[in-house]
Amino acid sequence: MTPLLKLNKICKSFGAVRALSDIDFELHESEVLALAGDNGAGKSTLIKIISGAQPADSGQIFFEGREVTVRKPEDARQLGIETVYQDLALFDDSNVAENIFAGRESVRNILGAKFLKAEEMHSRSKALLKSLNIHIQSTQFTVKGMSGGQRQSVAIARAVAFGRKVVILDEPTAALGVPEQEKVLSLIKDLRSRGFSIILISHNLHHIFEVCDRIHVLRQGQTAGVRKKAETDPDDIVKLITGGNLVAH
Amino acid sequence: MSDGRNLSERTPMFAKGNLVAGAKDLMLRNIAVTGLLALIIISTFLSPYFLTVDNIFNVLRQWTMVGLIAIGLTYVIISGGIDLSGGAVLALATVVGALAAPIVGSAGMIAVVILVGAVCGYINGALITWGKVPPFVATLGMMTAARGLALILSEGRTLTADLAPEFVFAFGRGYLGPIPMPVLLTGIVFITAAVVLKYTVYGRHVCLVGDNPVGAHRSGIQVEGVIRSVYTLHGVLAAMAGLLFLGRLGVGEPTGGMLFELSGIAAVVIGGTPFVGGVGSILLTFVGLMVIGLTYNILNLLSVSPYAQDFARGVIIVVAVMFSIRREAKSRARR
Repeated sequence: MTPLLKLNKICKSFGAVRALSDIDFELHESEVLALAGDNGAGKSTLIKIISGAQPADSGQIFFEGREVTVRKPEDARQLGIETVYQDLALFDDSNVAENIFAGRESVRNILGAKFLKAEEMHSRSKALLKSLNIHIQSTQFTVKGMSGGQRQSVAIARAVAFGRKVVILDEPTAALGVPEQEKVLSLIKDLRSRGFSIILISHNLHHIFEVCDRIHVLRQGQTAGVRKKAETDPDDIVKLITGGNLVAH
Repeated sequence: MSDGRNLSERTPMFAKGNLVAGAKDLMLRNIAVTGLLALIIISTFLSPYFLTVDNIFNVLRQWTMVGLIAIGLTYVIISGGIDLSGGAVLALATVVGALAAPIVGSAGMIAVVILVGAVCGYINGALITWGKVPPFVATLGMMTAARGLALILSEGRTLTADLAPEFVFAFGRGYLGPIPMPVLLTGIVFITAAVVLKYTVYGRHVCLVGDNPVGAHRSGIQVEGVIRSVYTLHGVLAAMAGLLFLGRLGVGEPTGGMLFELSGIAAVVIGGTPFVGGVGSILLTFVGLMVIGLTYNILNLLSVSPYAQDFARGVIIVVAVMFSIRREAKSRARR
């Protein structure tokens, strides 16, 4: 089976620092792939290359078997790759529907001016949240007053709202209470069952093992290993992350 | 529980629903509206001349120029910026207008004046987006430079403008029934600006840019283009205020519009639009403008010294903003 997204020998340097060297990476359809690694291992750089925030120095990117160029966020978005950043994902003073439709509002043209179709955006937002089992009292509420879990849910809903295929989640459970973490994790599982492919960056091995199919571990800009969940255990992953037999029994 | 505190809920008058209940709610939540109503009621008792058609239209006409600048400022402040150049751009516009009128005629002059405003505003936006100059500094520079240019072009004198009577009628001294033409014009601009801000994609993007510029950029919004556009809009509106000045007084005045930008900022903040950007309302800017205008008016009608008037205005600005921030904090605590 051809992978949905395939990266071939991706390299990226910042001056003298080699952030990524010869990374091969695959993401299949309807799969949750965890991207693990210590701080500075290159996770963020790899994500930025996939989401178009930073172009790679060399290497190839294939999407659905075709070679593509991803040099700016717009390129990635057009392919159907959407990123939910840890921070700065939402507009605090705007309501839920305005957040979901930010930058891609439904409009009707009146005398050349683009007027918002507010009711349509609210009803579509409501339907979207309902289909994702996200409980928010009203799409009229601003996200400023919401809990961390609700905010994360709105951010994820926003990412999947427009027929996206790949969703990149950067630490979606960080800074959340335990019940809220569970909600976000079940939302991730739900997205997989709907055919989305998800790249999950997380430091939390419990969460990784709860939702992921495969785990791609980076260490010092190189692939330390790729494991199927069924064929590995947390100790193994810790060894790959740290690069040694630090976990003694 | 999370409560929505976007403007349409804080001021449900603009949302759908029962108008009376909406007005009541609006009064309770917005200090400017409450203040305006209190001001009108008290003033009516204090002076028999206050609540007369002539007096009210007089006040409205006096504040049309500041009003136009305040509309531009509302957009600029919502986008997360500030513009100090309104009064100076007005003055430059009147001087250029007075110089251009004999050459290009009154209709041509309108185009020239609007162009002057647009160029000044666009330069502000370009300095902020390309030059990375903070808005306060960029527009402070424009304020000084535009005023200086107005003085250079006019050689420091008041220029008598040669204007067509139709222009004077439409922008200055004419009436449509009881309504002075400048008031009618400014009213149309207020309504258009309010509709654009609340109901169009452009208005939405201005809010998003002020709320979270990085997020707006990631959402595919041309953040820098939106920023340049709001400063350009502000410049155009300041130039329009210059046209009203020309129509009313018939002169180009390099020292005209002095401190109008500060009155405009006062109107915006009294109306409750926060300085941090992201939300705001043109209608509330109008309410803020009227709080200032009617305060001046009643103090005038009561023959209070103009020095005391400035003092009173200063107090009103600070108290109004203090109250609106209190309210904001309270509604946050209730959550």
